[in-house]
Amino acid sequence: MKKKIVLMTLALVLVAIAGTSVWLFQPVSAEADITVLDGDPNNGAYLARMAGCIACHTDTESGNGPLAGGPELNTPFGTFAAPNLTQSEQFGIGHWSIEDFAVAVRQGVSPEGEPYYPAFPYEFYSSLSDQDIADLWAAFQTVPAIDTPDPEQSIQFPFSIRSGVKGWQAAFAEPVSLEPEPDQSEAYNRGKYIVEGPAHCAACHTPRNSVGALQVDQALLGSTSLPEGGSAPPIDAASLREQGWTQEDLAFALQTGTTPDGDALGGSMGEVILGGTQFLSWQDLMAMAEYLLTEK
Amino acid sequence: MSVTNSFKAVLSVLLLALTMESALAHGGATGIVKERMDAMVTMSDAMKELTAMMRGKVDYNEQRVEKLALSIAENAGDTLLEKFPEGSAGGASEAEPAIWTRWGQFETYANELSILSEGLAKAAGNAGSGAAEGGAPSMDMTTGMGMTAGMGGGMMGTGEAVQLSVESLASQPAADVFRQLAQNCTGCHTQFRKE
Repeated sequence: MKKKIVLMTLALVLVAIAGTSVWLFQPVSAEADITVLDGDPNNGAYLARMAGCIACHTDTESGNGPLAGGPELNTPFGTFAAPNLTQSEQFGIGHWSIEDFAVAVRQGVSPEGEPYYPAFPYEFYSSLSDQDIADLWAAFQTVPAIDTPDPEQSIQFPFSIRSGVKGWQAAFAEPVSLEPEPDQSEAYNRGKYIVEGPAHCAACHTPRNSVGALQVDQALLGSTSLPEGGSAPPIDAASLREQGWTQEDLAFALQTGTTPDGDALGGSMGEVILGGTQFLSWQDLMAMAEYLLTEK
Repeated sequence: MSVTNSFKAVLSVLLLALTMESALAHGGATGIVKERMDAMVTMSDAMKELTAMMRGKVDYNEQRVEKLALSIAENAGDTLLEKFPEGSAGGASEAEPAIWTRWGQFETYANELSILSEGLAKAAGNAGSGAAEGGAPSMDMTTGMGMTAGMGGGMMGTGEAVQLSVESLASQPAADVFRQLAQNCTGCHTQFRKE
């Protein structure tokens, strides 16, 4: 009897392992559920700035050109580099359909059914509307093809097993909620949409655990484990207020990189500002600042 | 050893400790590194006061804007470049070695800082909020702030340099010139300052 139980347990464990393996190694069959196909390229370009697409996928030092692939990012998991997003048929996304694009951006799955590493912050794009996706898609159609192959990635074992990311996605990739709060101002809700969604401030300013998952209970409290050994300061309302930041100060820093004490921000925040937030309207920058400075 | 001598010995040690701490507070910088750090502090002080005026935190004063802009101009261009001789990274310095491998880009930032600060001094009389605080910026795809616009300028190290001139800046709103000046600082720090 005892032997039978042991055998049955063993069989169950084997079935579970086999099932998990099949699930892990099968291509992800993500359906693109997109109904809006007419996009506005101008809105899309604005959104691409806000979302950091251009900042991260452009290597300003190599001079390869806009969106032809970003610089290497050294992380505790290995070296990542943002791929070519130009209209190049061979090296970029020239051969993609809008459905491919929607699945990649909102679900983090490539047209080949492979999960993307979370260095691509798709968690934050998961709540983008169909119209947002169509606008972005229209904007990407206008990016001239640059035939530069993607930089080599060197990811450490066991993170190099790409199918493992599928498990990560299932366990940790929480879609962000961009729901407006009815008791808050219009500017606050606009700020919430930008900060929590496309601008993905939490990607750097919220600490991550040992497998790179965001510690949402410590939202925006700062992180010391950024790529290249960098750190990001806390930007929660209490910390910002304690340091004397006002709404105008924050909006101006996001536009120019200048802090109220006359310093100019550098590092990865400088890249975010110069490649992204400097292009946002003053109204949107003030909305971001209002949201950040409001106690949650 | 008398009590007085003991007291003197303790005092000496304390004084020495204080001196050392003061040196550390300045990052232990000496020579050319100290010189350029001091120049950066001068510029940062000017930026602090200018930011407060541009943001309406203190009253706008045309003469003061001009004076502060000129204090930045005095430290920009060749004066700035001369403070970065090859091999002067390391130690207390916050300079990235990339300065010397991409000297042309560093030079562009320094020279544009000179034009922008002189331009601001001349535009000081054009008070009022600039274009950047208006409505949503134009997002035309080929000009203005489209998908790839602003990515081919001199600061990005690709394509032709952005043609800046003191004369054209002189007729722009001071707030707009100041914004460009501030972005120049951020651009240079992003690429060439250790964080």
